[in-house]
Amino acid sequence: MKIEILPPDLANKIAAGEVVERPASVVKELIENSIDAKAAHITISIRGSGLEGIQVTDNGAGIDKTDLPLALASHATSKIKTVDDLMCIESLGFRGEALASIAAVSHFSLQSCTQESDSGFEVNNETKTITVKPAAHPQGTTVIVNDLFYNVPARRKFLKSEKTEFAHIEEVIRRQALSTFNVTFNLLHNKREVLRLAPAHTRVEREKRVSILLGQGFIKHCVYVETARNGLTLQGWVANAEIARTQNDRQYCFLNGRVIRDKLLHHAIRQAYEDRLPTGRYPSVVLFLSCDPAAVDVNVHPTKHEVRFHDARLVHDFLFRSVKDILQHETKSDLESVENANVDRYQQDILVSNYRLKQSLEPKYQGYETKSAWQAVKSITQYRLIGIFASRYILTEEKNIPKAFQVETRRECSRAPECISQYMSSEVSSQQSLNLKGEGYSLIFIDAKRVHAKWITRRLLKDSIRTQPLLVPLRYTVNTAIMEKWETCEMSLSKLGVAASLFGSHLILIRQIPSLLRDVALEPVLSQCFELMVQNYEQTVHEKLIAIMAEAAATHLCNNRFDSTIAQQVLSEYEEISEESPVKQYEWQLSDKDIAAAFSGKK
Amino acid sequence: MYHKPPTTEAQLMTRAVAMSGLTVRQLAEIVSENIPPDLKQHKGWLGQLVERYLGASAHSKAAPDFEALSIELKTIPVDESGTSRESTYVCTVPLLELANVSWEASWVYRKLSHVLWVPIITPPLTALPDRLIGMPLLWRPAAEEAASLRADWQELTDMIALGQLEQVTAYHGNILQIRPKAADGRALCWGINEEGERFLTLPRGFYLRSRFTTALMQKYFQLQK
Repeated sequence: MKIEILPPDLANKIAAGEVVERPASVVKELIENSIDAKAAHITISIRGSGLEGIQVTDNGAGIDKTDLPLALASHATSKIKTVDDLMCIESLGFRGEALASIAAVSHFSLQSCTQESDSGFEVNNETKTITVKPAAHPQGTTVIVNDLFYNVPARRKFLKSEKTEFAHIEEVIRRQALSTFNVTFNLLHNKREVLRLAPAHTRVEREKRVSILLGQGFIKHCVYVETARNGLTLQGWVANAEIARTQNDRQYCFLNGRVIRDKLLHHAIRQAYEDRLPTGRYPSVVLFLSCDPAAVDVNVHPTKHEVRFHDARLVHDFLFRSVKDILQHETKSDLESVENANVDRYQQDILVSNYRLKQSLEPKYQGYETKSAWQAVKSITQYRLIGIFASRYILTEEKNIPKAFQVETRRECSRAPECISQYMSSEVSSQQSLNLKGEGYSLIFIDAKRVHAKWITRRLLKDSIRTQPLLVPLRYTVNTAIMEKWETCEMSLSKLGVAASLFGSHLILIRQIPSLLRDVALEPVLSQCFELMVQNYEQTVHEKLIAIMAEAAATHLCNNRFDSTIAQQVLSEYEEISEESPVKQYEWQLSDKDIAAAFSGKK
Repeated sequence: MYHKPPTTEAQLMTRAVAMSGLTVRQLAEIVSENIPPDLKQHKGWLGQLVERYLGASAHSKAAPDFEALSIELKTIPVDESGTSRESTYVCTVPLLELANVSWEASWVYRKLSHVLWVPIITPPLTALPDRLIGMPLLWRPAAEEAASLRADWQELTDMIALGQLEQVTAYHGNILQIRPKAADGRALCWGINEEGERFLTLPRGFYLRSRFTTALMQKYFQLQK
């Protein structure tokens, strides 16, 4: 099957399925347009529950003659211009879809006149190409929607009885009338006036409008709430439990003048009632919440009933706290003053905690300029690891090797050429091998085990030994010979960072060791140490203990995964010890003869 | 032998170190306690044993175990490699009165701001009396640890405050998780459901994931997995 772009009228019909569900949806869209046009008077005239005809007339700004053809085009709107506007929506509509969608499923005509214009103009969808005709109209706009869904019989089938559909329209008007107190509303059904609402500016006038729309009972059983915190304001009426509903149909929530049915808000309100309502009962409220338009996303659903708050928890808690307080202080008369007193402290709390949150989330960069890290980097550049041999010997190179390092041949190093040729034959090195005979280069062969042992010895001889606590202290049973000399033994060990203590008569608990011995099997080392300490009384015991530990650590190093990382580590150790004393016995500089032998061996 | 509550941090640590390396049997002898046959019927016995030896003062839930020092005691079963075998209980999850609760005022924050960890070395198949008390670790969360604890707490508390309690599973939260905590399915408490109504539900507890405590142990004791 081929993929094709849908023709605009079909696309509009599809969009209409979302936006225009029933006649009431048309009424909602048209009233919202009127309110966005700053109308002060809106007349809604319904015929046959909206299926026959819907007419909405307002005295708003009107649409300019030149804009009229665009009014019926989809994704055309005067309400927003840029993506940035979408982030911060202050009008009710913004999608630029409503009129196009409605026109796609009805006989549609629109008449409008602006203040600047001498006469009104009309557009309709009777002809394929939209033409603008003059029409008699005062300032404002009239939209006439006839025979809704005439071309979508499937949709007609889903509509309920006329009575139900009209009830939906009334509900739409109720919501809009609650949200815009300064607008006069007139509702006519089959030419008979059903509702007339005068503009309401004072609280008394507003409560009158609320009682017309929601009944006398509501206003009798409710308290007025007005509070502001942290950029959020709440105003409206909260009814007590006496007029609780069995359905969730009397929770009128408005956000920045927009009708919303948001789960989050309902949740906060219901929670505030706590046990005042039994399970399955719903509170009645009319609440106007306002916040910074940028702090909320209304572009979530085509009907815009759902919204997303950027800080949902803040809104939820504000609403919960406000409603809860008002219900608790229901009987108190000086309620508002109590509220205001709390504002400052609360606001501060929020600000402080937000600030702290930001602070703690900021990544903390720590400098790496410690000496040891620097040394490691330095040694890697000075000594290049060329090869590892027999888990013990390291082949490296150095520029301009000092005379002091030129040493005699040692027995262990006789296998060096083997190591080199093994290295030369590996593919990675073929390029590097060319440099070997370059000016000023020397190859050095290093005994890693000896270097490491020497390095550890040096470390342990220093006063500050880094120690490591053992998760599982080592339990070591000792004989009477050691017990007799325990105090001196303990002293000697503690000088090396070994924390040992006696428990009972023969049990010794080792809880801390020098971190250099971290990975070494400790028990054999300790056996050697104790043996030594029993036999020796002299000062030399310290050095001898160090020798035991260094040997153990070095053996461990070479026996376990002697890889390039460890080789690099040994190279830096090598550099460190070579700074202090010549390390002749651990290295062997390769002669030209050795190298030649290595190459000839390869060939 | 019963210790009085320690008055300084150093005193507490001296005691805790002195206890390490002993078997549970040895420690029980010192404190003159009988060892139960197993911990299934005596949950928390080991913790109480350690508490008694160290001289923990507070027995109420709200106050830290070493009240004068504001230090919380947590015993934690681990194996020799520092791997923690179970998550660590922190405190109960408040299900009501959540509006405007700040991290700094939360139980989790208070419980975890200064902790004395006492590892109990529990390799598989080791009988209770033969288990070893490990080296103690006095811990304050580092900046990054505190930040992730806070982020988890915020996410979980937000969910509960917004009525999504029943959707909170043990899978939520990076290092902090919420799980039901009750002797059986009949112990119920009040929570707030999706509609904002009160409803009866299982009590929940905040737990530290074993991944977190394992990392903590392995970092401090320089152990590789």
